[in-house]
Amino acid sequence: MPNGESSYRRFLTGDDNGIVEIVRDYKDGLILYLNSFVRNLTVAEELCEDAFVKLAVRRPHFRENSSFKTFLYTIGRNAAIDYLRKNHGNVVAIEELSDTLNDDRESLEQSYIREERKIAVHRAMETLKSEYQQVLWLTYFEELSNKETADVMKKSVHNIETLVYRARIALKTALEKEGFEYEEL
Amino acid sequence: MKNYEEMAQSVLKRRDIEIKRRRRAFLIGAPCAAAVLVGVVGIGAAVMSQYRGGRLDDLINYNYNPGAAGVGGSTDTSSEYVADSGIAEIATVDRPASSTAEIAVDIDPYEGNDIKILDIDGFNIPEIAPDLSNSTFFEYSLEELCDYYGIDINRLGKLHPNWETSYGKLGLYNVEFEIKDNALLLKPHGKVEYTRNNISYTTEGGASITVSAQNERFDPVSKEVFTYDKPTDPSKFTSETVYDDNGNPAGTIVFPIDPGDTGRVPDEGISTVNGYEALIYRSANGDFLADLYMGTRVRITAEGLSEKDFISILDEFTERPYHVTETPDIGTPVSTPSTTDIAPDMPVETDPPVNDYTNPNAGDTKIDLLFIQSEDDVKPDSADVLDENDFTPYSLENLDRFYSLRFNRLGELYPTWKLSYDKLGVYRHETNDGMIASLELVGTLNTLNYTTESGGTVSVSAQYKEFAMPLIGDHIATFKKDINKHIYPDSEIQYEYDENGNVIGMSTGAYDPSAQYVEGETNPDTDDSVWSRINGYDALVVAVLDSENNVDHYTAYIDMTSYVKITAYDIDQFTFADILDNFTK
Repeated sequence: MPNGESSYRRFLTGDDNGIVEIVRDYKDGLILYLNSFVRNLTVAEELCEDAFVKLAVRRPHFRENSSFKTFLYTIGRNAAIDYLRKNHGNVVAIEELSDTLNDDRESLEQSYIREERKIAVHRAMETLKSEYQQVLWLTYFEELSNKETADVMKKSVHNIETLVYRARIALKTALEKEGFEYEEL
Repeated sequence: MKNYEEMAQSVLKRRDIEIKRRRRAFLIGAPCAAAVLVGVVGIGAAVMSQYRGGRLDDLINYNYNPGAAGVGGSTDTSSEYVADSGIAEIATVDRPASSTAEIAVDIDPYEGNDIKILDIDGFNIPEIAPDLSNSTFFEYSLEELCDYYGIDINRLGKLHPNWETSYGKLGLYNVEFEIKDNALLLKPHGKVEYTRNNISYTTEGGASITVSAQNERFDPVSKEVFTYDKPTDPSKFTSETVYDDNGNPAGTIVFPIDPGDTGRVPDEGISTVNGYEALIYRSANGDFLADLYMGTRVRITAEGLSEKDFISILDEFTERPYHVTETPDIGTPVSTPSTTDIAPDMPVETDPPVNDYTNPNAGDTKIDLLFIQSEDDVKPDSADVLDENDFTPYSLENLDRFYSLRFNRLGELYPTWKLSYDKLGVYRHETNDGMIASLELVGTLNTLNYTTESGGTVSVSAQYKEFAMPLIGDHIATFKKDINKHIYPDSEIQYEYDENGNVIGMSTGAYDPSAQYVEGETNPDTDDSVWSRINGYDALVVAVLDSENNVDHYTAYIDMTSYVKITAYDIDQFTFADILDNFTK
């Protein structure tokens, strides 16, 4: 179980290994989360690195009444939103991903998600609208609570509940179209 | 993709670069730290020269801790401007104590000069002139030379009009510029054979002074004392090419050189004069010579001057020729929470905004005037409930930075118009959601009012959030990029609960399903033909009619970096179109 709080605290006291540990523990998940915004793995990776750089440069104060993951993902989300603002939807469609990127994605999924059935769910999620992908990623894969997800996505818990509900229905529909049944949904 | 070790190393490297950049930006001063965006059309050398020698007063004005004298051990808190395309905040940034010593390279021109006079027997100045017989001479005026060198080489003459000034023909030999394309803007082809020019002065007391300038290093005057050829790494101009959306070069950002850059090899014989590196010699017969590096190489020689007078002349020559008198007010630094508490709610950082911005989309204009029958159709702007305790006053200049646009552009373009405004500034309120303390911008609206010579009135308002716009058909107009937020208005959502009160479902109420559209598509309920485009910016331009169907006034809503609303009374539509064009160019 990664302990981002401890690593971050050590980094703040001058131990650069702290940030190395944070990158090691959170990089893959954050990239996949950011990919739900930008739908481009290369850009998601850059934004992920940007988020770590912001952490390293600004050294924002982390209050320990929330999880470090929530804290980090909020920074990542800000980076993604800024990117989207600047690029006005100029994002690469999934179909345009090169073979290399597809390989990267598979590798990332294998290393981070591991379970095949969850990987299938993740693939299906990519057909959903961005907001659904985000909320599903945070609640289903990152196992954040609705409160934590609301903190990251800057929405009310009520909104998150609605979004999750709606996103699950959309995901279920998407999976059924593929002839896939998934009881957990 | 990078593995985690590669990414971590990259993060640390970028961290170090960013810290250096901030130090540099801090040294140069906030306004100058905003790199100067130079348009495509420009002359490379002149463009570069414009910023030569122009940093020192920034150091003076923004030297927040003059007592530090170069080294300090405490944690500095300085105000820093952080901007975002959509959100911006003034935030204070804690600088770690460990880096303070490197930050505080204060160079005070009045106290921090480091003068070292090197005593040598005599000046060994070669008398052999270069062979210029096959060169072409291009005569320059004194002003042109100043542009070329980037420094005012006749500064002493201007400061001392009583001195007798003399010079021979001024110009350059064999200058062949071939600016082939934008990429070569700062690297003109061709050869500059000989760029030296001299100006001589005779003071009231009969002392003689000569100022020489050239691109190349002067020959060392003495082999006794090293040092001019000793390897050093002086600051160089750095530049970045800026590209438009289509990947075409749209301009070049030229960063001012930083005289406080400590990257060079220290040499105990090198002096510092107003931040510029110099070698200062005194000959056995009491003459002085100084070689200065000011982007251009300058050699100043003097006969008949005292040491004090010569140093004074060096100080005068290297002083920035103009002063920024207004103390920059980049917003009152937020007093309480420690700055680091603000992130990650802080806006995502980008480079400091550029005031001197050349709009690459200028000319991309299509104005469709939408006539509105009555003002009743226009939804009034709701007044924010603001706490005056949250108000931070801003100067006009700082509002430019805050909005990332030239807020008072009309005032600059139409100096005869009478400008008025109420207090200027923003409201920011501290919130604490339990996880992160953040400063929320709760009010960003400011308005400038102009009265034209003919009695017309124009008001320009700007804010971060979208202005309430008129109805188009049954819908309140909104800029397309934000349109998705209107798909599921919260007020129309009905939740279903189980017996334990958990949400088990919801309905979105009765609304037109055709209003649901896929993200990225435009709203089919809005008519594209009513939207305008002004110099690349999306805009809605309306004419509000009075009861007799005459135009009462015009209003334009423009989606620039911030949202802008321009309203004009008693002005014809062509003038209004000009105003819109000028404001957004």
